[in-house]
Amino acid sequence: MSEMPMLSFAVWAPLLGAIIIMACPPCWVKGIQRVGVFFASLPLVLAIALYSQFWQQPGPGYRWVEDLVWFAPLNIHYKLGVDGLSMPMLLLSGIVCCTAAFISLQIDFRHREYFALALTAMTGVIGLFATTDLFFLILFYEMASIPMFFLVGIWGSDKSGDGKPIHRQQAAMKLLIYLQLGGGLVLIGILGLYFVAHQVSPSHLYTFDLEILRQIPLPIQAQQVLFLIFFLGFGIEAGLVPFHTWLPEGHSSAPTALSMMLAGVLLKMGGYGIIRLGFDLCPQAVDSWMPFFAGVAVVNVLYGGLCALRQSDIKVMIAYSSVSHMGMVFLGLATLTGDERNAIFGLSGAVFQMFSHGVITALLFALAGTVYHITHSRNLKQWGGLASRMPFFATLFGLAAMGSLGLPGMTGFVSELMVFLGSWPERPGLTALAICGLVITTLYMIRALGYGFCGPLNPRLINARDAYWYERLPLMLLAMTTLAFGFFPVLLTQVITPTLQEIVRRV
Amino acid sequence: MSNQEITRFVAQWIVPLAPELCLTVVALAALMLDMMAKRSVRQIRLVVWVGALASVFCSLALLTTTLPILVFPRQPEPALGGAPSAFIVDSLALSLKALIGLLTLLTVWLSEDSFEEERTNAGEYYGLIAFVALGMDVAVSANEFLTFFVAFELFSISLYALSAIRRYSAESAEAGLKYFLAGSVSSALMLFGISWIYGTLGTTYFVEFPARFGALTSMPHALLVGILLVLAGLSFKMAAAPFHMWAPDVYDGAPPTVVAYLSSAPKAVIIGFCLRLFWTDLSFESATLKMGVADTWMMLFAVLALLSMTMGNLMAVPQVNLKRLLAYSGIAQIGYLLIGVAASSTVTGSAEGGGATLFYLWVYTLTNLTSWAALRAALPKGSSYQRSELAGLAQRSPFVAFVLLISFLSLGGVPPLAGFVGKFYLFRAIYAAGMPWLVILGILNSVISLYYYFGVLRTAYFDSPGPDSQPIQVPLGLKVVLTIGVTASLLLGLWPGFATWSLETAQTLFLGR
Repeated sequence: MSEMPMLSFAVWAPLLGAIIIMACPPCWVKGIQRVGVFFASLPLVLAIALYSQFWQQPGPGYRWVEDLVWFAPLNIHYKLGVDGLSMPMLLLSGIVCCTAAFISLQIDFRHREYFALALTAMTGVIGLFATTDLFFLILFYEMASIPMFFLVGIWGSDKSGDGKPIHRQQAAMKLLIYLQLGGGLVLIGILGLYFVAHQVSPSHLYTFDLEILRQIPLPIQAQQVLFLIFFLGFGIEAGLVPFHTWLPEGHSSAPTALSMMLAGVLLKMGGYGIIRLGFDLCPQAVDSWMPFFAGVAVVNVLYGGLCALRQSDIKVMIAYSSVSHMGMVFLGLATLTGDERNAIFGLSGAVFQMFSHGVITALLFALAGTVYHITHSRNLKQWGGLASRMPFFATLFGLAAMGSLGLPGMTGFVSELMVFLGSWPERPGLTALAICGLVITTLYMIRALGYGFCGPLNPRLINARDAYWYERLPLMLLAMTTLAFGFFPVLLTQVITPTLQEIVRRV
Repeated sequence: MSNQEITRFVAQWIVPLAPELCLTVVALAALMLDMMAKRSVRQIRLVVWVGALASVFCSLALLTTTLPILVFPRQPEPALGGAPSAFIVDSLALSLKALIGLLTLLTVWLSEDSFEEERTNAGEYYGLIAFVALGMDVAVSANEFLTFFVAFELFSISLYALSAIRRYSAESAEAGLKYFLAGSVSSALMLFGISWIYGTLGTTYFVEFPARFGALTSMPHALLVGILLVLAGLSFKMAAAPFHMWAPDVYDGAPPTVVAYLSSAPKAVIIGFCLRLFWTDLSFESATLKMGVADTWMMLFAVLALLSMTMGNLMAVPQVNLKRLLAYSGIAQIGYLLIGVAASSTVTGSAEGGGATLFYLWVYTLTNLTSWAALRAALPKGSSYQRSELAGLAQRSPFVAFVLLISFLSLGGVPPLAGFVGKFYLFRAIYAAGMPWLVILGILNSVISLYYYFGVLRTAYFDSPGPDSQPIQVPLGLKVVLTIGVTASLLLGLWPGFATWSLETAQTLFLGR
């Protein structure tokens, strides 16, 4: 079993599906849908298998490493491997991709192109978490972000009604430019790293290999510059204020399945990149930048929350809640300036928050998108009393809202508690402000629940239906995940702790 | 003559010239066929097509050959009377000849039935294309200024005539005239520059430059003026900013198939020539003057690169005419290539820059030609090339839309396509050459360029087709060109063997310096 290139299977299976789909005639709708769902589910199966193995034998270091020389003159390797940091991310992308594929069955035109693009993006997302070569990291980054442009622009929806309208084509362009700007910054950083590392230790060949690069002690000035470049580059992708404006527009305009992927996985690529390239490779720069970014993190939490409070459009509201929750991730990362015990709490909290937010937001977007699909309205004020017509959706929305606002027993509570535990001894003031963010989350989540699902039924929605099986299945999977990891946080912490301890020790 | 002598004569004088001979023969044959039989359009196409294919094969065969053919050597050879050769056959020249042949081949395929004069004046059209290819083949082998200039004029004048080949169309005639006027000025500048160089160094043979320079006793300002004038002439021809003004107008008026050719192949020639001239023979150091000039060239090319990238990309953003958009995108792309030329500097002494440049030359020229081919397939004959005409292309012809998508993504530098890999090598090379600021500006420029490339794709993919639009039928020849183009974009990106080959070619070039 260990001889099989399991990671390669997980990474390339969706792309293989995309190629098969492109070979089908466009009228085979059922066939295309089945192939799409099948190949999007394969990574989840493999990820669960790998995760359970990892959980039984936790420890630092990369597992299931595959290494092929790709271009010898520049020493570029096709190298895959997962450690305690990428394993949960891989599981998260498996879950989100699989559920997104089920939700994609709602798409009702241009099926072939849709599934081909979505599956390509899935390969990019999974590959980014699985690769340990920086050249391939960039490659997977772009593979994940370019198809998003087409998916948002063609199958997305426009926001009209109250407030500023959002046109999906413009949102797609904005998303593309922001993500490319982030990618460009990361590319600059990677090239810098590649050369600086060689200057410092000429005994090593020029290399893009993460494992080798992290052993090379870079000069502190270089670390400071590179850290900033990586933090900003990946921060754009993770919705760092003030570079977050693409996020509400892009996420809310996207088709449902893509909103799930954007919020569930793409934002996490940013957080993962910051930890992987920023913290792990430039550990000495943390003390000089993170105190500043801790302040930005709190702005993220409060600003995102307050914006969400004002939205009447449910998808824009969830998107702003993502901005707010990613602020918690940044706050957790900022604890690395403190002593080791707090730092391990904060960093675990940040990783836990990425996982938790990925699952919960994917669930929220799936619900919001599906209800929009049925009612043809994203405006909360035009919903009203839907619980009587769609009890399944209402229950799950309540569950997701509780998870999002941090009710004990669900992942949101565990992760935010860990962040606060780590952050309080360092920065009590900022942490107190961030805790206010929780209150704001409660307000807008309860408000959405009240407007949308409670009260008298809007007569316009008298014929609204409840969920079909292919909607129930992925929604239940997401809900179960957040409950399982909420009740048994050890499922996650046992995997991540050894690796995070190593990172903390380096800082 | 004995058999042995004949064999020796052929091996020495005929075999190394095989690519040029193929093209000469077919160029003349095209003109003859046109004179002799009126209804011979298909034969003329076929003949030129076969000639181009033969020149590709000859170039590749010469590249890989192990026969002890006495190719025209770079350094003076006692066997040839001790004089330096004005015409050399080395791996750089041969690899570029293969590229030129390939581009010619694709252009001939692409031209079939593209406009009326292609049929009525087939002999002129295809004959001129063969002459362009011939001129370019000689130009990349030139090792002496006058040889280069004659070859340069051969392909330039043929291209002026090609731009104006639709003589009854005002746009085409205007484009031809504009191209001719701008081009003549650039040729004149170059010739003037050559005379300054000759006046300072007393020779036009490249290989003699370093020795003559070493013998100088005072700072040769006249030489620098001459070289700058030559560089201005070259920049004109490859449309590098600030010598790019003619490009959008000419691209707009000339027949699209001609533009596909004239926006790709000449760039390969000029960039190859810059590599040869500036980094093997002009990057001299003088012991008596205690100065080297290589870092001057490096800065010069870096500035040209930066100007071209920035101007091209910023000007392309507001364009709604696809021809003008591609013209400005071409100006930006030449900037990336010039980054590679700057990175080939002798100061850092590495062949990586040269390898990256050659690789990107293949990538850019092929991708650019494919984009033009895709537009030709997507738009009706006589179209005005407005962006809005592409609306709903993805539904009318998924294949053509896919080709356009891949080409534009590659031009925009999106992984894992060839354009990304090429740019990555270029940026890496210029970073190693000590100009990280150019990497930063280059990457930011790539982000800008995505805006207009994706603007076109947005129209093609997002908008629905108009009510009276028809599904698009693509003729077989065009389909083959498009397939080749897409395959090249994917393959050059994913299969690294080709980049290795470019690197080796560059290494053999720089071995000589």
